[in-house]
Formats: sequence, structure tokens, C-alpha cells
Amino acid sequence: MNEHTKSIASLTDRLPNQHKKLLSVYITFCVFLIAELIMDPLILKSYSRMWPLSLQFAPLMLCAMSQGCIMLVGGINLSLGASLSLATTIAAVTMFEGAGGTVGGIVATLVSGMAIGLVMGTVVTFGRLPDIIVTLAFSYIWNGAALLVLSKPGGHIPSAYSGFLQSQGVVPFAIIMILLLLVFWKIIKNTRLGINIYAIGGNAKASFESGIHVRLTKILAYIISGLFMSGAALVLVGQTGCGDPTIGNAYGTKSIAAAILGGFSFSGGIGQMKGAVLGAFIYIAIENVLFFSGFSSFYQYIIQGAILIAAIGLKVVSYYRRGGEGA
Amino acid sequence: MKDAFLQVKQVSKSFFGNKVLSNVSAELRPGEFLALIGENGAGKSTLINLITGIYSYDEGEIWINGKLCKTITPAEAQRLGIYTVRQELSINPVLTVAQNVFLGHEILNHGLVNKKEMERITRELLDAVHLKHIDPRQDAGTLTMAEKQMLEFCKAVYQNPKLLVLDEATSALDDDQVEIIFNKLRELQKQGLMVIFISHRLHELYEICNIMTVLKDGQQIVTEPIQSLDEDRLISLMTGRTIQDLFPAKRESKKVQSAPEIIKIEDGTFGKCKHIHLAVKKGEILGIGGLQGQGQQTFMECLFGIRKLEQGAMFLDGERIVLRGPSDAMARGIAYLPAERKTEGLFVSHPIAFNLTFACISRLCDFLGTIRRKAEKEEIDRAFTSFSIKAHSPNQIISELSGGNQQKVVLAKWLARNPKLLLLNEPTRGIDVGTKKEIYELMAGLAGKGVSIVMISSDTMELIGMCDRVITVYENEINYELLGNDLTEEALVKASVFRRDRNE
Repeated sequence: MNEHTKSIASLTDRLPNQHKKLLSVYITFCVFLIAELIMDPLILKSYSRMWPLSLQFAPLMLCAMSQGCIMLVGGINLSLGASLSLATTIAAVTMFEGAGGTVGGIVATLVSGMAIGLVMGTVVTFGRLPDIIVTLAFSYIWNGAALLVLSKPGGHIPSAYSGFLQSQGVVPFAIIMILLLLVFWKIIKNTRLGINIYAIGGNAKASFESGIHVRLTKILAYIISGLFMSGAALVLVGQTGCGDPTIGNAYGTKSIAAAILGGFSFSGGIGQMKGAVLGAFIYIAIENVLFFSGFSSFYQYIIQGAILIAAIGLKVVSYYRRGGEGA
Repeated sequence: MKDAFLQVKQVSKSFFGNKVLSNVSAELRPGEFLALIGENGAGKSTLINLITGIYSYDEGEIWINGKLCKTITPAEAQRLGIYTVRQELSINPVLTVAQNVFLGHEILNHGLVNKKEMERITRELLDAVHLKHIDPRQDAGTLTMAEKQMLEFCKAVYQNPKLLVLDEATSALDDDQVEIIFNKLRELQKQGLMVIFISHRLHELYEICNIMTVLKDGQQIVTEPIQSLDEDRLISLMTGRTIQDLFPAKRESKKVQSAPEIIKIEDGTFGKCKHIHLAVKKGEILGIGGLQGQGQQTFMECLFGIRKLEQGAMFLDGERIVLRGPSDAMARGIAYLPAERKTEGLFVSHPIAFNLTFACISRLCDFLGTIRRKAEKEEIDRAFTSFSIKAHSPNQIISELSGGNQQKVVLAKWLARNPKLLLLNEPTRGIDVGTKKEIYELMAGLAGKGVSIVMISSDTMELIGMCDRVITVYENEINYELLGNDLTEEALVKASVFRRDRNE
């Protein structure tokens, strides 16, 4: 270790452990926050710009949290986009005008989101199948199911609900929702379940030998993931005013990218929900910056891919560095 | 006399028809410390895995605390008071030190984890084993091997075990740390703690245990108070086999040793191995022995270029070389047969023919780079006859073959390149006796033709029967070198388990 890294190390040593792990995410976040502000200076001029922005960011943030949940237990969810589509169609057919109809629809969407997680989690754990295959297969199933519920964008979202989501209070509703879910996760993390989720991602065999119910824990992680996903669906339907059987497609791979940018690891056990939220912000900020910079959209895709590889590559390099020092 | 807490009665266990434990019995009463001892693969770990519920047993009975336990899970064993500290550590790298100690037994407060209390208790546990510098809140992944092992011990002791199983649980600790743990154990012994201790450090067993069970090839040889088993008798009990006519006749040691050196490492440092001197003669079979996981693998990896030589020099045929990687080593006539046949040595889902020609495919291609089918067929036929591979056809998928035949294919694959140095890692593991014999004859034939062979084996008999010279490795150092008439089973076992006195 040279002098330079030593001085950085002594600085970071003073940070609490969980923030230390997210340090690189924080730095990237700040960089893109500044970039976003330069590209879109309206944000600073008009506070009301926060509402459309929060609605742009919130769905991916929730999807990244959902993906993060599965990645913590060492899996990956390739069906997230399809299940998100399905959840929006369910929301669009179960919501009715009036307070009762709206709340009923919200509950129905959240419950079906958790059911989606339960089904996949059960197949993965009891079938002893790899997450990647099972969720890939389920992506077709959820796609089909979404088209069965609504063959084209439609259904009905109460205008009062959409209005509420976009209503200009003190703080945008989407931000409040994400903060509430972060608190919810904080509580989960401080229960036995939370520790077990991290534990089985870190070392499933040893966790089993410590008497942890590995399957149950994994299924519960899938259910929580489903809950976050249906939260994203509820934000989306509020924005578009309808259910859409293909709207989720864009979010599948983006959620993986956002989670990785937010510090989650494919090997499991590593990652924090606030990281997922920041990762999603970074991802969309990259998109926005490229959009405003005026590159043709073809170049935007290519640059986006290159940035992702760079982000993941940096992480892998730093991982091996640390591993190399330890050995 | 107090009632036995643990009674193992005539227990047997087989894996895939291979009996690894037969009719083993044991009894443990409060305050008793049992040492389990035997060579690699004698069945020590299997026995404790049966007791701790990792495996279920086929025959016999295990009674714990007066109850017959036919099938138990690790969680049930823990409820009965049986905790294990293992060699392969179960510390979870992504959790904090405190979370590791309490994993599965968290202190809860209205459903939430009481972090403060857990961290306070962990602090006390760490202080008790002189690990004051470790913070209960830091990630366990940042600890050293020894610290992890101590943490495992803390974790087990906190559960107030009735029976503590230590499976090579001191392998990474230095003498002071071992002493700290032993003192704690002695203290708990007065309260009735029982221990089953597996360790390759015999002196540790003598220091703390009061009874000893010797296992050999899955059989219980003897169980006696430890005072009545002195080291000499112990060694003869652990060994005491005769070399059957499994092995080809040996060549004269002097003649082999007078051959020129084919490869030499001078004052080499690689991985954890420091200042290693190693030379292999032309046509020599050199065995690398010692207890499992002492660094033998590292030697192979260095010779094959997987691990870079950090210091020192390597000579091939008297010429100084630097191996840039496995492909460089292969180009220089070195071949390596890995221990994990299925994952490293073969394409298991492909046909035999594909596997056979894979390593020498460029030799079978014409100038355009397409495979000359005729040459390929000749090569395959040659391999089939000279290695007597038993299969329906070369197109059979390799995973359908027996382990022995698979190994022959791997050997044939490498020998098709006509290597001058062949590195074999556990060449006969999991192979039936008949095929073993064929492989031994093949090796002897190659050595006769001047091919040098370096072989790692955990099978003592194999090393004695096949090798011209054996070095034993102990904690990443060459411990002893045995050749000629000194290469006996007793000497080899001794050379494996005792560290050589450096002042000798």
C-alpha cells in the first residue's frame, strides 16, 4: 500500500462501516448529480421541476431495490420487467374510482407482486434450480399473463390517484414512498430475517450449518422483492394513467445495471438498499446527460454500455486488489 | 461412573458403494476429550459429520443424551448441545464479527435484533481470547485466517456446548493462540465439557486429550487412554500395511538419482512457499506427500506456470526459464493432470474423441487449420489401444465412463503431446484397484522412457510403491526428503505429521 492510498484509507476509516462500503457509489452519485444539475438547470430555478423528475426516477429506483433483494441472496431476477408489466395491468383492472376502489386496487397490486415473488422463490428453492433459469422462464410466463389481463395498454386508473401522485405538496409522493420503503428495509435488516438474507448470500452452506432455514429465507427475499416491484408498478400506472402489458420491458436489464452501479454484487450478500436507489439515480442521470449532450441515440446506447462495463470493471479490479492484499 | 453423553454403536457409512466407515464405536462422558487420529481419508471427518448431522449413517446407532438419533440435522445437533469448529471456516465474510457470533441465535428485542447487546457480548468474548484489536462491528471478511478460526471458537463456546467438535480447528493458529484456546477448554472441562479433537499436530492431541481413537481405512483400530499410546506405537497402528503386488518393480535408486536434472527451482518463492529448492531428475518419479492442504498444490501450480515464481530461478534442461503461464509450460513440454478430473481435466459432456485430441489438436491440422480426419482417427485409435480405454466407441460421452477410464482419457490426452515432465495431482483418486494398477504400469513405462513425473498423492502406499523419491510438505515447507531404502511407510507417515526440527 503506498502513501497515497494510506491517507485515503485513514480518511475512510473514520466513516461508519456501511457508508465506507458505499463510498465509491457516493462519489459517482455526486458526480452525476452535478452533471444532472448542469444539464438541467431548471431544477435549481423551479422547485416544481422536482415532481416530474421524481416520477422519472422512482420506478427504476424501486426496481433496483427489487433486483437488489434477489441479488443479496445470490440470485438474479430476469423476469423483473415482465412481472412489472403484469403488475401494472393488475393495477389497471383492480382499481376503481373512489377511495375504496383505489385502496383496494393498491392492495391487490401489492399482494399480487408478493405472490409473484412467492411463486418464483418457491420454484427456485424447492426445485433446486438456478435463479437465472427460473426467472428467465418466468419472464415468458409473466409476459403472457400480462397480455391475458390486458392485450393492449388500457384499464382504468382513477384520476384522483394519478392526481395525488402528481399533486404538488411539500415533498413529491414518490420520494416519500421511497423513503418509507428504505425505512421498511432498515427495519427488516435489523430483524433475524435481514441478517439471514445477507448470511445466505455470503455463504449458504455455512448458514445452513448454523441452523438457518435457507429456503424460507430465500423465498421471503423473493416476496420482499415482489413488494418493491409492485411499488414500482403503482408509480408507473399513476404516471401513465393505464396498465401496459409491455411497459416493464425496459426495466428488466436496467434494474440489474442500476443495482450493480449501486454496489450490489452478483456473488450475493453484498449491497445496500440506499445504494440501489443511488445506483438507479446514476443510471438515469447517465441517460439524461447523454440525452442533453445531443449525441445521436445510437451513440447513446454504445456509450451507456461502455460506462456500465467501466463501472463493473472498476469494482472487480478493486475487489481483486483487496483480495490480493489479504492473501 | 457418569452416563455417556454420546454413544456411537457399530456405525457404518458408504458413499456410492464405497465403504468409508465400518463398524465404528465411540463413547464420550462429561469431561472426556477424545482425539481422533488416522491418515488422510481414514474416516475421521466422516465420523464427526455423522455425529453433527451433516450426513446420515447407513448402519448402527448413535445415541445422544440417552436418545437414539437416527437422522438429525445440524440444527438439531446444536439443540442437543453439539457444536463444531471446522477447518474449512464457516465464517460469513459479508456479516460483521458480532453478527457471525450470533448467526442463528440473535438476541432479539421485540423482534428486532439487539445490536448493542450482541456487540457488547462479542467484545467480551474477543477480549477473553486476547483479540482486543478486533472490532465487533467490522466485517468478518477482513479477519486473518487465524482470527477467523479464533472467532469460530468464540462462536461455539458462547453457545455453551456440551460437546465441542474441533476438526483441524487449530490448523491456522500459532502456539500462543492454541494455548489460549486450550486454557479455555480446560476451564470448561471442569464443568463437564466434552471435546472430539482432530488435529494433524500430534503434540496438541497429547497435550489436551485423554482418550484416543485410531482410525484406518474406515476401521477403528484401537481406542485407549492416551497415555498408553506412545508415538511409536501410534505410527505403527496408523500404518502397518504391506505393499501388495499392485505396483511395478522399482528401479535402482542410485541409477535414477544420477540422471541429469530436468527441472530445478532454486531458492524459489511462490505463494506462501518461501525459499524452496526442488529438482527433478530425468526419468524420475518424485512424490509430494504430507498431510492434506499443506501447500502441495502450490508446488504443482508453480511448476506448471499457474503461479509465478516471485523470487528465485527455474531451470529446464539446465536453461534458465520463466514460465509465463500454463500455455507456456505446455509449449515447453510440461503437462499437468489436475486433481479435479471432472471440473479441470475433462469436457464431461463431450465425446471421448473430442477430449482425447483437444490438447494436441494443432498437430492434427493441415496447413489451412482444418482437422485432418485420418490423422485424428489414427491418434484416437493409438490412444484406445495403448491405454486400453474401455468404451463402446470414441463417440461415447465421457461422463458415461467409469472414473478409471475417464482418468485414462485425461492421461492419454496429455501424453499425446509427448511431455518430458508430467505433473500428476492425485492421479488415482476414486479409481478402482484394477485401473489403478494399469495407471501405475503406464507411469512406470513412461519413467523408463525418460519422462519425469511429479505426483501429489494423499495415498501413502501409492507414494511408496511408485516414487523414486518423496518429499513431504508441512506448512508450505519441504519437511523431509525420503529416497531409496528410507522410503518406508513408517518413515513417510512420520515425515508427514511431525515437523522436522530445524536444528537437526
